[in-house]
Amino acid sequence: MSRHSDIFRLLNIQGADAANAISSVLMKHEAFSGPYLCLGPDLVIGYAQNYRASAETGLGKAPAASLEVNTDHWGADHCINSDLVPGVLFANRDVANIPDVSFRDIPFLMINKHMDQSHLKPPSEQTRRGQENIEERLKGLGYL
Amino acid sequence: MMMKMLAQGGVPIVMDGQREADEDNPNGYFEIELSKKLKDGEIRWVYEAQGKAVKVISYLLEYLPGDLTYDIIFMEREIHEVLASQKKMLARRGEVSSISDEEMEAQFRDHLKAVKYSIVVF
Repeated sequence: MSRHSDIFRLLNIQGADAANAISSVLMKHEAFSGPYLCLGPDLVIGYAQNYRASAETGLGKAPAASLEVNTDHWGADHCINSDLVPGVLFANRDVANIPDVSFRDIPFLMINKHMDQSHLKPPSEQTRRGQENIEERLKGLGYL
Repeated sequence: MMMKMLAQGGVPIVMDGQREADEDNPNGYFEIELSKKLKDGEIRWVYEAQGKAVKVISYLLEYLPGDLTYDIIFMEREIHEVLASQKKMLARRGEVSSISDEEMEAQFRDHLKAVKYSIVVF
């Protein structure tokens, strides 16, 4: 069976809710690069929302059922499609009241203070006189 | 040098060849003249350059369209070397600078600080 037919089959696996369990399958050269590419897995699975590799699978076991309901605590995601979870923020307090958490929220999460960013301006507005001198210099050099 | 390395590595480069090689850059300039007009709002060419490498001086970075995502290789050189190189280039071009090296150095340092910060924040 070809690699492409494997991918097709994986992408068409559906759960009891008739939703696709896997939303992306990448071949290793699509997922990784560099000198250790040959050591990568043949296929990199990206699970869809509400699906994950089971805890048993993570421990190297191969349960008889392909799909099973997870009745344990959902404390982590295993191999979810990285487009669905592009980053992870670990916090020891509830962040439910912070929509669209960004790195800019880290000061608040750390010291309970918001960073005042109202004074931040682009470079051209920060050092007006310096900008004029630099502009004159760059024109003299032919870069402007 | 970085643009040449990228080109040798197979990265498509956006350049128009309008600025010819000279004593300062014997291998030519890997630039596009339109980049000089970013501040004037000439940004259409940037959308056509997606997936390619383009040289943009730090002074003009903030004028790149904000609705695109960029991978930036920020080239930094020891400031005294930059100023010494600029003096030679200015002399060859018959240009005279009215700004002292000390003043220029301080302003370049402020500029670099602001540009680096803006790359992260804006």
